[in-house]
Amino acid sequence: MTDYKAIKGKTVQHVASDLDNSAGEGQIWFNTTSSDYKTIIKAAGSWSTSGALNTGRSTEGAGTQTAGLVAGGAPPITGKTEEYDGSSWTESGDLGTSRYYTMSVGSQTAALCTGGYTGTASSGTTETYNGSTWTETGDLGTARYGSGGGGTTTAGLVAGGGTPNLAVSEEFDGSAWAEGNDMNNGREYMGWANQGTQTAALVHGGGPGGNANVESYDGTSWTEENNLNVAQQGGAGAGISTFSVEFGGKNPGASAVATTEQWDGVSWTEVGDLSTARGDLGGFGLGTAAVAAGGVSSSTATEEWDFTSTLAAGAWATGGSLNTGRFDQLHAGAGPATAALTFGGATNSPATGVTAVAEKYDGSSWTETGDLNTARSIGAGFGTQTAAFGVAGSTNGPSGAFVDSVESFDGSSWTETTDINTARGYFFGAGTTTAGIVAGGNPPTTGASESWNGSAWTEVADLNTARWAPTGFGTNTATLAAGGANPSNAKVAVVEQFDGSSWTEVGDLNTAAYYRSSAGTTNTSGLVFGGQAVGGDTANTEDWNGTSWTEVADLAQNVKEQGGHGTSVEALSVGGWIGSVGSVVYEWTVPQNIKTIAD
Amino acid sequence: MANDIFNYCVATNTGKGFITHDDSRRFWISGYPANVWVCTDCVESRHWVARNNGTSKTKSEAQTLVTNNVNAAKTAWDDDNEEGETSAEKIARLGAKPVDITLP
Repeated sequence: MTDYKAIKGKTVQHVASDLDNSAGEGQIWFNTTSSDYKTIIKAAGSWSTSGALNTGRSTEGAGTQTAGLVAGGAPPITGKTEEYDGSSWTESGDLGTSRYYTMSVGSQTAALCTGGYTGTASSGTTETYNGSTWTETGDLGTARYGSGGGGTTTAGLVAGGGTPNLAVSEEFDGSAWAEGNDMNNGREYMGWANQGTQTAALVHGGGPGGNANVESYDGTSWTEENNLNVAQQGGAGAGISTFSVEFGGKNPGASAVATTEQWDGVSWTEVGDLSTARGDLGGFGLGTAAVAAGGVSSSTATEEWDFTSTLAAGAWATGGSLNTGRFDQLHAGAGPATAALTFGGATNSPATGVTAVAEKYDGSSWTETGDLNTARSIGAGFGTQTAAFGVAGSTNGPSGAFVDSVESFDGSSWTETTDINTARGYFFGAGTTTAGIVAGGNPPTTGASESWNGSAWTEVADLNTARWAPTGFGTNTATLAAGGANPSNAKVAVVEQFDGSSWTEVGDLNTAAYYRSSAGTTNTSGLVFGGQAVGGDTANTEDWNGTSWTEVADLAQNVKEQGGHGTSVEALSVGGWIGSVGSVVYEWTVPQNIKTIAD
Repeated sequence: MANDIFNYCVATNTGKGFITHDDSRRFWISGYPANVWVCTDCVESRHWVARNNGTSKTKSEAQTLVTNNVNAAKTAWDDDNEEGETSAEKIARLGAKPVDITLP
């Protein structure tokens, strides 16, 4: 079998719901619900601010994110050159001819700047830069401004420009320009893939008025490519002809835009916006590491584009508050975090005010539904908003009386159903009303587990580490139990997986704690959050990828003994203890960029 | 009120929209007893305070609010006793005694 996998590879996973970012990165899977092959691509890059230009202006650039330059610009019309080292700008030798709307390409030590507007006329002037000074070389055959291009100081390309809307292109051999084939669509004020070459170039957008048209050049002829999503002129570009970003510009209404679009060689995808909208800006670098500099009006703003770590991170936001603040409640919910059910719990400290009230969440607000028959707290809930179980717990808070009764919810009312075998509190439950599991709890502290098959509770293998106030998620044949306190009341980080017959220890949590809550529908992917750790209550959140735990963004405040459900991509933290009885709700979301693989 | 690193304020968590995912991604924010919130000091967090009708506080003012709240919780914990109850039983019943919180 090992040899077979080495030769043929592993089979594609068949899953009912899409993988999350951590499990799905680099993977292809078959979604049995939608009957699609899918994968996750990096969702988007992001811009971050960097050191300001010494002289604010519209300008053009060349080079890379750690060794770049801008030259020329306006207003006022200047030949100033500034070099960028990845964090700040330093003035260098000026262009011989002050002008703006040039076309520049190359590197910080070998740049080409051609064309432009001097304030009175289009320019055909071409200059090359050696890292310190500019030297004039052969003029363009057609003077122009606002053109696009690509290449180097020894193999350059210029295309289009004004006045107005030229289609003619020219190729540079290091000393002189020769006319090439015309573009399909004449234009000016366009953007271009700044690291494109004389034989593989890409230009996009342009004026007058702004358009979305894109063309590529193969050294001989121009080909129309798929359009930009946002028509604009005066935008900038970075990268090569098969992978680039374009950013900024002015829309047809002449308003500056912050949009950024990524080109994958086939189509454009809108990604993270610039923080400062602007047109006529300088752009250079790669599609994965670009720089946006300057722009109208006399902007000094510099921003760096980073596409290297772009699997989006999760974050918590506040959700709609509970009508009845509570902690130690029972909670159920399967599927999206917009379909939660929370019920029972304690409404005051020291937790003797036990409630029977149940509430449903629709993604924005909570609505009361049928009460439990028996008010209870510190029990366990599982199932869905329309088919849930409320299991055991205490009718008088931590002081007892612990019960073994179970109630079943049908979406509107509760009905008593088969009792579990061992009355308990401070345990967790997972699964559905036809296939569930409960494990752990006290008093006394136990590792006892019971499995529900739709008609009866059956004792199954105990947890290896007896514990109370653990959290857990999954199904009754693929369960994860995490944290809690051992019989000596010491908080533990121990995690165990259940396969339907036995529990096996797997990777520990980073933070030992009890009174945590969790989200997850299988034992290979989930989220654990909040609780009480050794140092006190915590906002800590950890993501489980089936092998190990990774700390991710904290809750906005310390919360313990709350309800929780959902998945590692979309979860809820409901109520709980926040130093007082909480009605607060937090929603966890990890943006995903799942793509269906087409033929 | 900012101290160059953090903003301190009092604001009531109004639920949905009080903290958005964008807020969480743009700046660090942490809640404490007495509706005290501490954020990274930046333009976005100042806008967040204004958007939520927060009242800016100095660090000292915010710390006092938190400390008073924790002290009240400690007193309530100390005063809540049951006949013959051991310390472990009390912790099991009430949870651990509230601890002091020092704001960043």
